[in-house]
Amino acid sequence: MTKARTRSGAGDIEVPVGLPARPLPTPGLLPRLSGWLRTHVTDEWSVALIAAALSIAFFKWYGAHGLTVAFNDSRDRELIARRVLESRTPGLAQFGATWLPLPAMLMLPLIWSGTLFSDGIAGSLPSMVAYVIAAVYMYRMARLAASSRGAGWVAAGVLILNPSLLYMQSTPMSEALAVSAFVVAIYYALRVTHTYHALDIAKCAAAVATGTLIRYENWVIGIAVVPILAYTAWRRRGYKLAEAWTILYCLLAFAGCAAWILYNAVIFHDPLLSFFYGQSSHKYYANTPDYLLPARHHAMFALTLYGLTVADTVGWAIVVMALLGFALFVWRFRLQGRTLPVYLTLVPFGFYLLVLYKGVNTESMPQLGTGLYYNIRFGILMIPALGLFAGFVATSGRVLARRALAGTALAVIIFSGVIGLFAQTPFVLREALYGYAGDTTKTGQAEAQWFNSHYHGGNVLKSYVPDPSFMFYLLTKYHFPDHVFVTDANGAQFTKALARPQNWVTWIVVNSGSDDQDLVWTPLHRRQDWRHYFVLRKTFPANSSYGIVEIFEKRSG
Amino acid sequence: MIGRLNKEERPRLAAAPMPAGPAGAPDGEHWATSWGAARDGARIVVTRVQAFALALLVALSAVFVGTAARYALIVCLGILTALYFATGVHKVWLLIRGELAGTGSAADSHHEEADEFPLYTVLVPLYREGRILPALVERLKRIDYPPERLEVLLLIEEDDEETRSAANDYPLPPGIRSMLMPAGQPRTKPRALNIALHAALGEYIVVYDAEDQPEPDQLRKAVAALQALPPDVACLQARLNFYNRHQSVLTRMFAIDYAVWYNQFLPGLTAGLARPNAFVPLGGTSNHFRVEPLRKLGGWDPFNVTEDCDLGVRLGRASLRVAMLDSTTWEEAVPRPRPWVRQRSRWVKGYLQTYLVHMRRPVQLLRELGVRGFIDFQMLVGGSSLLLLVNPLMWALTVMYAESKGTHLGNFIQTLFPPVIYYPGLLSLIVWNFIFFYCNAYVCVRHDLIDLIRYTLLTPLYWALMSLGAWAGLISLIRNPSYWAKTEHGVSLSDAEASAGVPIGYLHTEPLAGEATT
Repeated sequence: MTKARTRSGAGDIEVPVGLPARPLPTPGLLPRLSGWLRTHVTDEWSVALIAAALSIAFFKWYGAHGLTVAFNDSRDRELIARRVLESRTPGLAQFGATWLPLPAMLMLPLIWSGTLFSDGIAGSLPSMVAYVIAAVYMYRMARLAASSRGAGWVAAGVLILNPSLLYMQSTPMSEALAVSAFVVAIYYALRVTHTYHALDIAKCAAAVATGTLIRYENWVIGIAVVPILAYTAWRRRGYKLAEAWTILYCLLAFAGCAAWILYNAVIFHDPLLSFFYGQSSHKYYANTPDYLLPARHHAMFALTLYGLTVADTVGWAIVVMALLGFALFVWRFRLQGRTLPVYLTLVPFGFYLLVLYKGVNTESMPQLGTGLYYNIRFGILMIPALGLFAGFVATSGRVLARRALAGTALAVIIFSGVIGLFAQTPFVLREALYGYAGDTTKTGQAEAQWFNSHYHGGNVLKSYVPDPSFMFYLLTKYHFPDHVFVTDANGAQFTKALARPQNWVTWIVVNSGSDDQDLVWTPLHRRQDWRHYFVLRKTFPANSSYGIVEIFEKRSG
Repeated sequence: MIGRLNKEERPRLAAAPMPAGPAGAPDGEHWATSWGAARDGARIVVTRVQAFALALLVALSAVFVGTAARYALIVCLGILTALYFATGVHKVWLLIRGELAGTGSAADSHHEEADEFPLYTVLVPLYREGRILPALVERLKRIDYPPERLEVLLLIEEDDEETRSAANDYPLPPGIRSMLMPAGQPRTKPRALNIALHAALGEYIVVYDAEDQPEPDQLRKAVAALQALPPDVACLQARLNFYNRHQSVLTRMFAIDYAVWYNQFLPGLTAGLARPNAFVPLGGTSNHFRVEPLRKLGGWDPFNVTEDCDLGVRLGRASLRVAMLDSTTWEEAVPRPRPWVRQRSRWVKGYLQTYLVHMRRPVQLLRELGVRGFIDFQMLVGGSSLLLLVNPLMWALTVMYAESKGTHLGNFIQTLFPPVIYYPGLLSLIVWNFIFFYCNAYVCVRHDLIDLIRYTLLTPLYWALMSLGAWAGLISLIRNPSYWAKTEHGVSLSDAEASAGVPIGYLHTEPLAGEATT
């Protein structure tokens, strides 16, 4: 019998020739598809695809229900980005506000378009992309920490199906971005403890730097990474390496903080502007009465308030799973170097507790008798921790047990997500709908509608603080040109308009009685000179916190 | 020096035949400065056409400034900003490519022992190196290569009494011999190399400086790689760094600078193995060549004070490739600012010479190097040199603006930067500069130079020193184009170390890990 050589993947093999070869059955479409998917679609890609599909679906869903810009802050964030490109004084100085600039910067590529600005896509797209990235890195982080694909899927599931995050990723808010930067940073911190590679340190630092330009919480997380990296390096090769890693990390991780401080110093001549002025500043809360800061100096109440926020954000079933997973993790790994960065996920918990206890900021939930919903978004940064620890549940026992646990955990997560999304209002959305600023949407729309029907030209003098909803709706719904507004973001023009409004504007719109927050009303209501030229045309009743809205028009002639 | 090329000098030099002459007794005066690369090289700094173009540019600029000064300044700042932005993008791209390529070389996969050892010639040009000659010989003796297959030529200038007497006094082992270079001008390293290239017997050739200390197995690695790689790979470049990097703050900064260049940028350019037509600026030493292509190419340009960079361009133009060799040669860093500036001035001067030489016929250059090679050449040779010269002016303008903000002068400066110039300029100033600054720190950790990392904080001062060197180089180019600002070697050695023949560096050097993950 003759033989021929044929090449296979494993090398040369000899097969007999001369006999009729029986053709192998062609596999069906499904097995072929399944084989192709197994070869080409990795877990990460699957997570990304699922997250992307949910992201788009829920953006459309909330958009259809008019909830994309339900938060007053989401409107404000879009306006910041918009005025960098389109306003009387466009430019980088427009970023200057209480908020860090990256969310607005990420909106710039699309915000110039009136359509994308109006329907919220320009503002929401960065959040949506961040959500998908967060999902992928959540999977990677849990898989690396627990050495288990199941853990990765459970952790990613907790994040992907979180109702609050699904809502926030559909909006121009900063929470999805902050979570994403946080998860990526911790993933690379974790990788460093496995690879000891400089590139992973740089990537971790880059993620932290990104986070520090999104929310101030991320500054604290950035600081918390330092001792973990230094300790890892010190254990490996002593002081010199610890110093090198610390410098390498800090140079990049805090470059964003330094740039922001420098920016404030150059533009506003005040490096720490955001800390000392505005409604969210330390100074503001230092002067706030105790009844508005119910957790100040009450540790147990702070714990209850924040604990309840986290539980309501993530769902009680997942909290129970995560607590079990946490116990399992501590029992198994304790303070092992390779899993030490996992504890970084708990930093937000400590941070927010401290913030509430010290009275640096506040939060309120009606079920605790503290008033309407406020700042309940603080719970979102704990999703990574709970997801990661829930993932550890799927790492106990033999293979079958692990698979069963992972499957059960995923079923619980899906059930919890569906209930949270469809059987009730997602937790953070309650703040936008029923919270302190909930009625600004309605009043802002009503004011804009009236103004549009009575507007016959001329500039409008208006303060961004405390409520820019009026301007937002005029720009997005009624397509007013950006340059008709003379605002506190226009520097010298605003000062001149305030000094002699009759020479600059036809309309003055103020939130009177808003605790001197309105930067137009605060100086004007003490003066009488301008009243000779303007007449009060319309008054809107006070909403929850921003006082009465009064619209003045310049007298004709 | 302005001149016109003869018609017979214009054709490309790739096919320039090696002149006949008695082996071992080259008539350097006759042809070393008029053969090959020298004929179309930096002997003439600017051609008449270039001089005319430059004069025209200056005249038009003067007219523009005279008639509309503000717009002229805006245009000028716009061009510079575009250049800053483009070089920044290009360098970041190279850094990323370098990181993706890793520090390994195309030669990495060919490290198995060579089947046979061809004759290898080592060229060591010397001038006034008598003091360190014993140490040099001891280091050369450490090269791990069959002695009967190794030819080491110490290239000594005829009138260099110091080195000649040192070579006579110190017993040279078999295989190492001195070779006298006949008197002549320009008395430069490439001229000596050309003479030696004529006499060299080796199939491969490598150039080391007087203070160099190659890793002992470097030649074996080079042979293995050159035998395995395609014949169009004409040159392997080993990494360079310093054995005396702890001598001063400047040597530390210099070591970081070299680590960035040889571990990030050059791998970015070659990405393992350069494409045909790629431009790779060679380092001055530790270039391992196949002799025949080098001879066909016309050797080194004796009038160019960075003959290595020039040769890199000519290799690319002749479709010959360069690869990185995974081996390090340890050199001596200049430890004091004044000689450091002198050395840097020579480098920038040479880069300017190289730029002017190859831009005589830009279209031909573009055709020969291809778009990517052409961009690499523009950015690394022309752009980098120009920006080093411009940097102090821009820094001064920034400081002036910050100090005069709100005044008439401040307002005037502000009007020079419309948004289309301001924002790219700001990006270049902050983001690019930060990336390059951070890259220094990154390289320290990536390549196990962790004891240097704190010195990266001084990077801006180092940049200022580089600009000082650039200006010195420009002035030297105008006043004395072929003057070779020689670097003094052996300054890190005590007299005892130098004369006792202690192999320097082995006392101080810690190995630089090629792929270190700390």
